Amino acid sequence: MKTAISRKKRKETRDGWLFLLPFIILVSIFFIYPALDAFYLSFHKYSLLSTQSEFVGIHNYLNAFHDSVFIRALLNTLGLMVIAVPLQLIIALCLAMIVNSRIRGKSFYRTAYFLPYVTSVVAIAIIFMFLFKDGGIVNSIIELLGLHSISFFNNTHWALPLVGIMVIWEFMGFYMIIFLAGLQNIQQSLYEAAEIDGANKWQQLINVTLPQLKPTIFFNLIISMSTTAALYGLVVVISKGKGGPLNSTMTMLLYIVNTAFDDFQMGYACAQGIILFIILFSLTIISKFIFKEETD
Amino acid sequence: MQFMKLHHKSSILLYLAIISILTITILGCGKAVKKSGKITLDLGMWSSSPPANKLVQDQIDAFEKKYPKIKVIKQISVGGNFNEWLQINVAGGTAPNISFINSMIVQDYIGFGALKPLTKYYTKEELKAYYPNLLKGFKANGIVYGIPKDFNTLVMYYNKDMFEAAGIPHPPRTWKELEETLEKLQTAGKQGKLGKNFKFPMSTLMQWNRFNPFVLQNGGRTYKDGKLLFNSPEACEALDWFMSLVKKGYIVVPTRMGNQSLGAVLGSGFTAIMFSGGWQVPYLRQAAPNLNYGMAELPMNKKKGSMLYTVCYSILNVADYPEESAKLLKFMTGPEAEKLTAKAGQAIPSRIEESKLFMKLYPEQKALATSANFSVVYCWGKGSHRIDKELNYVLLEMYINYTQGDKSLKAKPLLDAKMQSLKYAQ
Repeated sequence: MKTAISRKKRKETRDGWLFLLPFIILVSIFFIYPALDAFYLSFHKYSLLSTQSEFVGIHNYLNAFHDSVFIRALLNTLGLMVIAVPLQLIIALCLAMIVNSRIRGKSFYRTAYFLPYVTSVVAIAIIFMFLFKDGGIVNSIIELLGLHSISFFNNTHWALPLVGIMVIWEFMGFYMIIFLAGLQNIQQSLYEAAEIDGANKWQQLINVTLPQLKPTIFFNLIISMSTTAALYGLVVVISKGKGGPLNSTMTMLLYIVNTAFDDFQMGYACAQGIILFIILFSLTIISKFIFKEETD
Repeated sequence: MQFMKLHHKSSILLYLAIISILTITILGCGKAVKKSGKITLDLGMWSSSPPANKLVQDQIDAFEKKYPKIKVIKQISVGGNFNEWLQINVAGGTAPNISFINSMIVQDYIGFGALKPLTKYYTKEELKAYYPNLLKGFKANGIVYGIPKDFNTLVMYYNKDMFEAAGIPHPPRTWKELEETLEKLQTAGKQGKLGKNFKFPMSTLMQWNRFNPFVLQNGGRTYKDGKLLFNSPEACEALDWFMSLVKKGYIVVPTRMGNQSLGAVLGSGFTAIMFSGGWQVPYLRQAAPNLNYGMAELPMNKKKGSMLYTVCYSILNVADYPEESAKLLKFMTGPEAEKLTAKAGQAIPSRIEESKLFMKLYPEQKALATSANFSVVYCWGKGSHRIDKELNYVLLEMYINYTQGDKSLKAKPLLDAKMQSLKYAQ
């Protein structure tokens, strides 16, 4: 009897591994191997066209911190993360609470807010370019108010904030849906108890909703940080792949791609990728530390 | 129990089936080259428009008729970036046999040993059939690595009606005349003589390649024989002069008039002059069929100068069948194929003889072909993309300073600093 059970268990373990195998194979081929390879290449001078790579030690990493464009891309990306991520999450949470309340036409609003997320980034970029172009709708309104029109996409001060607005608008629907799921998971009895204790709406939000939402906020925060850090498509369209004007919309990912393919420096691009990975990884660890109790 | 066993077995079978499908899919990604004794060659290209695709297909059809044992398949790059696509295919071992190579990246490809030297396949006499200025762009150390398939140059497009309304008898031929023309256009525009749409006399893109003709006309070069010369006195002088025109409000970027493209601002009557290439002709034909415009050679200063935008066919080193590939390359850049290029009228044939046919068929676009005699190929040597970007920044920085800032930036310190930083980067 004992042997029969252990045999069955062994069989189960084996079957379990067998079923995991396709996933392991695919992840190894398409994620783990490329990641390790990128790490290896980051210590080499290498182009996709060259047949050999030359070991250069940490030269690529040192080079990155002497490269003004890289620093600019890093600051742009971090700037977007600092501004756009919190704003995006706050707006998404507000929207989630609105569409979770007892208003009419809930499903319509849910769909409407989610739409930008499923719209192609190219379409979003083109819509914004149309709205904000010289002589466009936004500038006409500015002129109506008696102010000077702004050349948004040629202005080094305005181009990046505009990208931030696009990012917020594009992804808020996605985070809203996640928040909505989190909100609906909160037991109604908690609110009832709070109400009996005499808590007003604001106190309910601070003491019931937010603590209960912590895991959701953590999840959204991580996803939002990594999507913002990996911003590529939008800036490619609005700056035609150049990150202009004057690198003001150059993001890390755009610069990595440009370095790898336009400058033929795959090794250096890999080093930049690793730096981005280290930054994101540290931020994730820090966030995890902040949200510790809830995620354990 | 029996059922359980069966169920277990079938799930294992299902699992094995999934694995084998995956394996077959992954292994099946390699390409089959030889089919039924016929050799198959891949031709790497990007797709700029349906007519451009059709032209290549027509040329391939003519080739296959002549060499029935060779089949040619067009490999059109996916996504917007051809250079990216080609590099991935070279690294992945799926590179096409022959491919389009843009003049901007050719020196890098040569430097990495990705292209086959063509000395073996061409005699000196055969090479003389091509515009020498064009061939120069595809040479390194005197060895040819690519044969240009066609080209375009920058010429001056001007609105004939506006010129007439402003009392300008002919398109400007010198810098001095250009300045006078711009002034006349500005005055006439303010008086409302140039239509209600008119905004600025001239529009151009703040890209170094669009500005470089002025450097050439002033007797300078941006790049020559492996050396960057963009901070030479001639270049600095040209840039300061150009910015003085910007300062006077003569020249603006098209986005200043709410449009991305030069063709659109000329077509809508927002501006009277643009410097652009032959690619604007089909656009203007479609978007502004009633526009009465002319095309003239760019104005000169110390000498004439313009840009050559060109693409060559090269043989990739990693691909098989070099001999057959050379046959294909020779045909695609040979008289028969380039006659089709001339007739299609999208770009000017790279062969001198066939370009004459183009001029005969499209006399109004003659300036595009004649400009080839004094133009240089768009390429700043190895790392062209990086250099190009950096030079564009200088131009844009000055432009922004002259339109939104204190109008005090001078070319010399900016270009000197750029030269220093580029040297450091290399």
